[in-house]
Amino acid sequence: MSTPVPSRREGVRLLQPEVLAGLANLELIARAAVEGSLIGLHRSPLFGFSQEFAEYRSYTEGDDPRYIDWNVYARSDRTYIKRFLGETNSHLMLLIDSSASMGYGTTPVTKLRYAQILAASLAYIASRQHDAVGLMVFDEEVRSYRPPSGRNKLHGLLHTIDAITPSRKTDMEKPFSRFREHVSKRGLVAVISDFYCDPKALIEGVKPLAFQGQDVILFQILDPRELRPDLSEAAVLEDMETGQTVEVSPAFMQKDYPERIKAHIRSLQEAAAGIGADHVLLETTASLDVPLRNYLLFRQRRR
Amino acid sequence: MNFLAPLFLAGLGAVALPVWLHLLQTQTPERQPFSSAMLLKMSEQRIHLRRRLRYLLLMALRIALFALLALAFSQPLWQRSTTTVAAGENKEHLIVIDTSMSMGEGDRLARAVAEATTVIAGLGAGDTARLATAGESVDVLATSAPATATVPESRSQLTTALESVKAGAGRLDYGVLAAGMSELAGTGTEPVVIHFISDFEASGLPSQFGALIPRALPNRTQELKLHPLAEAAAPNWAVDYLRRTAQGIDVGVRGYRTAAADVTVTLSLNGARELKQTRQVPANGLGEYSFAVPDVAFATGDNRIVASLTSADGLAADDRRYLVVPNVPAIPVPLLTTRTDAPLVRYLSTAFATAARQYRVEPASLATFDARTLERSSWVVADDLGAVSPQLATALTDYVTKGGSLFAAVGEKSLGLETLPVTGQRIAKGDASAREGQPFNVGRIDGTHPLLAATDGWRGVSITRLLPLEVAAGDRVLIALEDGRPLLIERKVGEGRIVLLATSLDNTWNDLPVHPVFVSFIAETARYLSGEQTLSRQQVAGSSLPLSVTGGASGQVVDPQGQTVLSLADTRRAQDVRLRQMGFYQVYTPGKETLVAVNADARESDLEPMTVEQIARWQEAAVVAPQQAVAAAESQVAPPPVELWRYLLILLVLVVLAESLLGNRYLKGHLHDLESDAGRATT
Repeated sequence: MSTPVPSRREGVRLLQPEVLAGLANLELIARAAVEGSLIGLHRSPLFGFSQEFAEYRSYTEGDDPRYIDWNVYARSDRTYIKRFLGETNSHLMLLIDSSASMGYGTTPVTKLRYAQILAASLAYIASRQHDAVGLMVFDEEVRSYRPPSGRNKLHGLLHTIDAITPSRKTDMEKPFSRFREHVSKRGLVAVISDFYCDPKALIEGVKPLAFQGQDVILFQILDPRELRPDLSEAAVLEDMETGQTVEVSPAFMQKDYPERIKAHIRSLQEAAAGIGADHVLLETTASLDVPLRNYLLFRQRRR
Repeated sequence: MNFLAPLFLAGLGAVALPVWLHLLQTQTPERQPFSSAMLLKMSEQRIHLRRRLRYLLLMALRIALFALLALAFSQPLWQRSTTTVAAGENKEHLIVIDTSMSMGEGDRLARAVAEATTVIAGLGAGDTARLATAGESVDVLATSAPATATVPESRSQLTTALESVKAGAGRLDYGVLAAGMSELAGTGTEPVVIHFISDFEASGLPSQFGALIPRALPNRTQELKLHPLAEAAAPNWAVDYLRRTAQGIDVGVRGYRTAAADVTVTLSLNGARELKQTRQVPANGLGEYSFAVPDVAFATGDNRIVASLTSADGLAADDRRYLVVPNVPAIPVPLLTTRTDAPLVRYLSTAFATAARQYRVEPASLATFDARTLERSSWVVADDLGAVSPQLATALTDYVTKGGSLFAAVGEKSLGLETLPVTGQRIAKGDASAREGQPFNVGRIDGTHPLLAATDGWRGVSITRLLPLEVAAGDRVLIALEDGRPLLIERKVGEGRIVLLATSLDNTWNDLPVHPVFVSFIAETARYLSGEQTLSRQQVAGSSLPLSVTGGASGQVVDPQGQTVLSLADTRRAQDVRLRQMGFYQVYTPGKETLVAVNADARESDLEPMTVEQIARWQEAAVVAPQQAVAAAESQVAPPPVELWRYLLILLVLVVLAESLLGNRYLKGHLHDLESDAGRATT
């Protein structure tokens, strides 16, 4: 019995975070997100599997003789190399920020939940591409670490992602340092966080990874109210990580704060560009096809 | 620090208003979780801190504004520290002993004398001293003999005079005393120290604390030293009132800090008949007694009524009260008229019976009136001056010139004359009648005249006919019509006076007799023209009785002890007599004998003393600097207190300015916030 294929419009609706969040199982969520994202796309060499045939080309000196198609040689007496897509199999490391600030949300989907869905979707895509997927959950410490593994470990990985709860403060330096100790193989590193930290400190943490040959993509997840605060009267805002309270006026939150957050994002983008990393800003109301496509484009570019 | 009007300090409570407004305005905003304060704390926290500080400053200014206002009204005095004592400087001591009635309670006076003795003993070698008593008046009893080069200051006169000090019957008002102290201080240049020895009754305090501070003297410093005879308030019974009623005599007995008790009151009529009643008087309350005394029980003439009670309190002076009840036949007042059966007779009789019982109308026909009988009356009434014959006019003129009084009106007989008999006033030409339906109305009334001070209702009187009189020099127009013509004129002739009504006294030319004002007008006229208008038979001890109001300019007065008050020389000149004792005073004036009852001021019966704080505040405040400071003179007393209210007002103005500026800035900031909100809402 085949699964009915949803239409493109239905697929987009399914990719809305609040719709996905309504699903109980994170694996189901990831699958729905990925399938929804890929609906309507033409089959493309970009999106095949690693065992799929791509092309023949003449054998040249230096090619691995293991890839010579001997059947063709027997028929035509010429040596051809058979090439497959996905031969660039790599690791995908998901670094998820689980600090208390990620628990913030003014929509049905908190930033952490959005991060979980995104991470699960990325893991799902990667596993479909036979990429090994690893996971590190951190706040000011590394709370959980799963080394990159194959498709058969996807279920456990998704379970780990699903179990993440927000707590404590953010400290990028220590988790990145630990990460560098564990991972030496070249691959993709997707950091999912709200990045309430000093951009310079973040880059200092990420820079060694870039030098290590890792391709880094920073998914910055923010709530719409963090970008466009809606405050009708003076209020005391309490930092979810430090407990610090700050009394703010509507005028400040309307005028000054958006500029400050924009400047912060801009400095993050500039810093990321400086080390060849990608920066993707996501609101928790944004459809998931955007980050997933970004990811795929990023992966393609890497090839 | 003292306050002249400490009650205004209650206004400090108004500082709660800005505090309340501040709390209302700065209620803690709602606390909301936010992902990170990283982008907030560097700027907004500082802005809010600055704004909060600014608003706290605004609140402080507003609190200061209210506080300064209350302080300024309470008139604070700042007592500067005492200056250096100049060794060997002499001073004048004025020792004043309170001899008001309350000092007669228990042994207060004996203790006051002992205190004065102590003060005298402590005087410096070169000091001079005077002894005075203060009751209904301040009297200097003795002055110490001045020191000479060889003989030191003698105090014997003072100690001798102390022996004669006794409690009086009058009341002492400390404000009046303070006002009189400056006059007692004399004309020297040395500092004056006034020792005031008293029981300091709370009832003696003036309404304003500032009245307790003596007036400054030229080139002299005054210091007031208070010597309170400290003790708790003693219980006291007193006869509160004694008055004649239609049924008899009413007596009130009041207890001050007393328990409920049965109190017997004895009422004495002319020292012969005694009536007794016993009632329970509630604690700290008033007991009322009513004695039924028929009119026939009163003897002809002035009756002496005495109410007394028997009590065990220490103050006996207020256990008796005196009352004079006159019971004299009505004095006939001749009414010179052309018709003795005229309605005017009825009108006047009714008015006298209503408001001036001591008089009765005696109609006399102008044709048959014997002018020689005028001398028997202090005043007479003529209903139409134009009808008076020339002979009678001459007799009336002589009568008035010698001190008699005439109340005259005009009538039909006055019309057509050029001048009025007796007064000689010219009658102006012109229509004396008002047009039909448009009567003359009263326009201006001289309310300062005793004849009209207590009468009201002249505006409603309608006058249909008026004799147009010309006002001569010396005439005083008491009432004028709206067109300015005189209606009531007073003229002094010799020793007497004439009050002339330029219309009829009955209701032929006006409706005056049917107005209520007629009764009071006739009563006041009777009192005014008879010369008894200010005489009160009930006086308070310590008050003055001018002999002139008893009917003569001079005379003799016999006090309650039967002693003559005036010397033979004094009896021949007009003067006031001080009523120092309680009881009955007999006042003899030419051809007249008047009885006056003198009682104590009821406030003296309340023996509640001033609080220690009040005495201390008076003591601190009552240091008065000289009007002109003597250069290089050092005083043994503290310098005068500084009145701070002027500085407080200046400070108040500055605070108001600062509050306005800061409030304006705050308002601008607030408006900016509102505009931002509005802009965001629009977006």
